[in-house]
Amino acid sequence: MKKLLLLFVLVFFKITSFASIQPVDFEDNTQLDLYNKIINNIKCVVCQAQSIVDSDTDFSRSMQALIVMQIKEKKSEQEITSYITDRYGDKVLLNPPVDTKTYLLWFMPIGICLVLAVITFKNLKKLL
Amino acid sequence: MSRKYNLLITSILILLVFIFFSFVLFNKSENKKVDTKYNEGRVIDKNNQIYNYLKDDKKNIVHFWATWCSACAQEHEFLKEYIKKNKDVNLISVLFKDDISNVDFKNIKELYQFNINDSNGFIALDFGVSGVPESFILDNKGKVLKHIIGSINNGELK
Repeated sequence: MKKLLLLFVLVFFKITSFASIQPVDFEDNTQLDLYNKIINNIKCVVCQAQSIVDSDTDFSRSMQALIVMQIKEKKSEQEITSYITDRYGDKVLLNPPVDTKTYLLWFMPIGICLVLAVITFKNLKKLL
Repeated sequence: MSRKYNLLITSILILLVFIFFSFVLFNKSENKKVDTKYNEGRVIDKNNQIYNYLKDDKKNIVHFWATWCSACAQEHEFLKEYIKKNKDVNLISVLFKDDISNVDFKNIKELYQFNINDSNGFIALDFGVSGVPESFILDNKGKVLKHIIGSINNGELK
């Protein structure tokens, strides 16, 4: 029963660290929404596939502070994101744009899945 | 026929996987350096005093380091030797997220021509630095000629 309960907790409750989220004082909720939107799409470049919200590194904290500063200077989402990608490249985005450089990245997994589906379909009789 | 077909499909699949991972692992796009406030060669202190740290007649190297970084301490030994042999170098120190009282200025006096304290890490972010040690070779207008990630060695400074 205990094991079942533990399994239930592990499966249904996501354990997330909020240690790196700094209290921020914005003028209004629009700025807060913009802040949350941007920080959730910026990757911590010294971590493995973590956003700057999920990691507690110096890099993440500095980047968060920089974003806060730029939002308070009334910069738009486009301006802030461009500032960051100009320096760290599109690889800093957790959701990189679909363009000629990233076609393979976006569509290759679909291609692989299609090929696998064809193989499975062709061998369906043998499998059954 | 079916065997040949399966072989062909498997080969295509392996090729696709190979291309995908090659793209993910080796796609290192160049970072652009545009509209960068600090690498124009100017810094502003708390009293709004502007300092120019680039020199026209020298090789300008901006070096990001910290006292808590062991690789940086080893690198200082190399840089001391390098500066002795190359008098045409203008080495600029940017102390990255560190307490300035930890710096042994006697030890680095002959090394750096200019010292910048980047306590909040904003100068590093403006250059596109992700950790220390990192260095930038700049021309006299602040254009980045080379970005060195990790410790500097002789080959990279040529």
